[in-house]
Amino acid sequence: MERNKLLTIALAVSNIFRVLIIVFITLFTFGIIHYQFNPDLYSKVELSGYNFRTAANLSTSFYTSAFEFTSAIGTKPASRGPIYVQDASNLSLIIFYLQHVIILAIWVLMLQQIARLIQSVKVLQTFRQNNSNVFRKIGRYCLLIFIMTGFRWMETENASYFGIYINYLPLMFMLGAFILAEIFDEGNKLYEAEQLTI
Amino acid sequence: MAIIVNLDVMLAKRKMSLSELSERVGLTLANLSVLKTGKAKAIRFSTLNTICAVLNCQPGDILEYQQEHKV
Repeated sequence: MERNKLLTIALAVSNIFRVLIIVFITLFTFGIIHYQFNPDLYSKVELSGYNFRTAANLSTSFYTSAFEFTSAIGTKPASRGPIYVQDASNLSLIIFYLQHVIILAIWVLMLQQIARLIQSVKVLQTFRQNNSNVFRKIGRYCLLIFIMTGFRWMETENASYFGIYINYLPLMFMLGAFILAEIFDEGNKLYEAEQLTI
Repeated sequence: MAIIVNLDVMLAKRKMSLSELSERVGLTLANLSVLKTGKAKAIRFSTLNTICAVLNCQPGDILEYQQEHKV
């Protein structure tokens, strides 16, 4: 496959994912707002375990491993049964919402930076200071994702669930991004030296 | 940098303008200007060879080493 064709496909895929995430954030926000007005409709939506599930396990709305690593705390520790949206306190639901929206927003920003990077490679401007900065930004976004995925908290009438989760993958990506930033810095220095060789 | 480019001195000695040198050497005026102002990071032997041939001088007439004074 031609190099430019591959880059164009990568650019298109990153743009599609960016749009999908934005649509998902919008739908998620709409769902949370709608829940405030019509909580009965969401009475069977489950938050526990691996999935958000609708009534009687018939369909899975979207995947989350948010409560995989939590433990029940409080005066009346509940069994690790399902947590329904209607049982969750408003504050913990809002924190849950913000946590996930921030993670998704970081993904949008990261994809934006990746698109910038691909575009610069397409016009043969690969080893430039801008691209080194792009990798540093991606590294910082990975760190933010690590922080935002690092805790889970949910409060119900009977118990409070809290967990700390060390997600190694964003840390590894952060390390990779910072190393690439240094490599691109060196590449940029070589390019500048080449440009100033008479 | 401790390497000083004395291209302007040699041009004055030979009563030659930078644009004339540019034409005779086959380098762009912008590149020669970078060299003259000391902004260049490196110079190719081939470039030095052509400049020396056109100006009828030695590389030492164009390039000079000056010890840097530490503050």
